[in-house]
Amino acid sequence: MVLTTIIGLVVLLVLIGIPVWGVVQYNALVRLRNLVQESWKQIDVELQRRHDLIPNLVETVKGYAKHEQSTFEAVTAARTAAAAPGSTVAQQAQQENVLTQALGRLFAVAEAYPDLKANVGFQQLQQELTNTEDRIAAGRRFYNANVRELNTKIEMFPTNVIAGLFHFAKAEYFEIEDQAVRQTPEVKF
Amino acid sequence: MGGDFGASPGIFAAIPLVFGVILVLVLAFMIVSVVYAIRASRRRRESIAAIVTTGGLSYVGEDRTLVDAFVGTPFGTGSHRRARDVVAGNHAGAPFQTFAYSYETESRDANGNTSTTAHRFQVTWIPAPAPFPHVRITPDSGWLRALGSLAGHDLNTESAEFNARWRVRAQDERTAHAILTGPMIERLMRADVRDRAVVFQGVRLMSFAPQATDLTELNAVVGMLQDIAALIPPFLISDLNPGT
Repeated sequence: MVLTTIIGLVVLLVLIGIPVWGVVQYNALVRLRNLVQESWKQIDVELQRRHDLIPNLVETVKGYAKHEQSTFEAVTAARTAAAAPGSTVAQQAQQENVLTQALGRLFAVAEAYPDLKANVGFQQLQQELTNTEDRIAAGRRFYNANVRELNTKIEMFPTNVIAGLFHFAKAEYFEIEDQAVRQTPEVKF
Repeated sequence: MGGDFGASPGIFAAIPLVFGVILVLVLAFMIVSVVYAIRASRRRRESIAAIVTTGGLSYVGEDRTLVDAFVGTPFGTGSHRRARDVVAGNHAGAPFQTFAYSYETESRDANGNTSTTAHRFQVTWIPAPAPFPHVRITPDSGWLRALGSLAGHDLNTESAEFNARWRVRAQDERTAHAILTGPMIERLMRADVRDRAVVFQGVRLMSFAPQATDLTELNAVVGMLQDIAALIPPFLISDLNPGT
């Protein structure tokens, strides 16, 4: 009698407990997947803002350094590639790294022109670009933390059973070079 | 037939004497402990008085409004919560306040005897540059584990070394990740921050450590908080400040 009761309770636990656990894990995976998507959208907004700043920046520098054509073309090409839709996260990261290097060369050019550095419009664009890059870096850290949590949950047993059943896919990390905060240069007269 | 059980009557006579000696030793230890505590407390107060006088700081013996000024362990825990030896002033042109926070907890052993434990912390805070959601950065150390586990999800950064040394809990993880830049993580890994908690709470940036101190390290702690405030990204300050 006691044995029958115990067996009955165990069966009941298994019949109810496992589906409940499954639902809980499924919902947790959905929540994490949505968090990853939402945090990527935030990065995308900031990347777009960065891309939008670049044409003004290039035009401002062109006004002072007309013969640095190859540098301008490199920035413009990198910006066009980065702003093109349809890239995966890893491809976007690669494109943003190329753009960052091109921008580095542009700012190196600007260093040789004191009048350009003193230009208020240029300083404002530079500050806006720095702020945008800081936002991208912060967004990247948040996004990658969520990706790490999602991927870990998808890989670990027994959650990987639920993940496999419902086709949850691992997300890609967004690996870009974090720019050191560029200080707006002080113009000393 | 005799009633000799092999024990000398002298041993039974010595038992009260032994108890007497133990009692005297325990009493002596208690008296010495009390005297030591009183003298340590007086030395601490003298040190605080000297620092307040030479630094042109203000001093208040106790401020009850500070007891509920912060949330999260160790605040809001236990009974007889007090904020004493409140010192305030300026460091490098910026304001700060520090105080000794204490509370008591009771515990019961297997025999039903209750004992009271006093817990003391030195709390120091500066105004934060913006109103922050609650972010707690606490060391993974023995005294923190003794306080009990902190509720919430532990946030992981990309630095394994940082994750091993610190526990981060946040009301808003996005803000916490925005705070934890590379330079911020480097600053938090320095030795002067070891074994101190750093808390962003509203308009206060606060640090606390176990044991009420004599404030000899006050400048270093305030300087540390000011370094941390300076490393907060400007965009975050701008985003968190309404109307800017």
